[in-house]
Amino acid sequence: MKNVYLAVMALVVAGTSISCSHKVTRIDPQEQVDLSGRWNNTDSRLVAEQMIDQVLHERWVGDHQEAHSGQKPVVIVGFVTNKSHEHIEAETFVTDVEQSFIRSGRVRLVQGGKKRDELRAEKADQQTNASTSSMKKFGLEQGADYILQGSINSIVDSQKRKKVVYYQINLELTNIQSNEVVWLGDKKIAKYVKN
Amino acid sequence: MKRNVLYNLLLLPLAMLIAIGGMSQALVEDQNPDYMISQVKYLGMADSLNALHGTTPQETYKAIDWMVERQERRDARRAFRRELRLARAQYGWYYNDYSYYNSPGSYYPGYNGNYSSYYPAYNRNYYYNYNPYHSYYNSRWNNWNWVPLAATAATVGWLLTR
Repeated sequence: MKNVYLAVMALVVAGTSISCSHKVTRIDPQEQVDLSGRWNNTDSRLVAEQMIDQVLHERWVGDHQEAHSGQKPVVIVGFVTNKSHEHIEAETFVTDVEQSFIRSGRVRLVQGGKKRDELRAEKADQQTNASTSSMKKFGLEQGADYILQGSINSIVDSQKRKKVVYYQINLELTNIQSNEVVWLGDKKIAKYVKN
Repeated sequence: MKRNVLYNLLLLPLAMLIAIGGMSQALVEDQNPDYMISQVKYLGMADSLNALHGTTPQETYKAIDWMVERQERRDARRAFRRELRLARAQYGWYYNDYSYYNSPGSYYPGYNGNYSSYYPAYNRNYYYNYNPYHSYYNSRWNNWNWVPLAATAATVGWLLTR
């Protein structure tokens, strides 16, 4: 009787542990895994790839170098406004674009936003704490020639369990001095979701 | 002291005029001579705007989605039932949210003991509305669920006594 009781208890414990177990596996970030149909890493990657391809191979870089005796254009990243129906962080693909600027060596990048504030705060701290020879001076920052801005828009068409979601991501480079838009890139993604 | 303040106030516009004049002299070719108006305007808001550089302002909207709306309806129903359960646990079994029957002008108004009133008035006294002994239509004895129960009991009784 005792053996039977122990066997039953062992089975119960084993069953509970099996039902509670979960599994985590690493996957390739390039692999396409669509679960809910919402914005995911594949969409971000597709946007980044297309934007990098467009921004580095269009004529604005050449035009700038022609007009400025071969100097590389300097870019700062502005807002990318998310006007879609989902929470989307543009930083995932904008950082890829920034990375491509630096890796290509054709475009220079300056820091903006809160990171720039942090830099200035550090500079301010150096004015009283760093040695005179190593202290960085105010007023010698590199001014940007262009600002990268953008928007994310979406259209949702749903009927019962079927849904088509369309995303349009626009990035644009504008000349800060003249307000002239020198480059416009876009990526369109459409998804058919059936629940 | 007051005189110093006064002198400073008088000197301020003068200093601004000199500064603007000095800057105006440094106009580059084709530059708008009134550029300082805009510069002063945007200098005031530059810090707050530039702090958001590199971020994603979220101006999302709510899409019309049948599945999402169905889920929201379910969630609302569950939340309502939960609240009702909590209220019943707190106030006793007789708690029922028969707001439809008690609402003024409804077909089945809660009896409020006022025969002279043509329009049934909702009795604002919580106890009188939800206590079955004070409301005929909310009474547990007027519940039609008793009919099938009584019929079943009668049938079982009849079968047992055969």
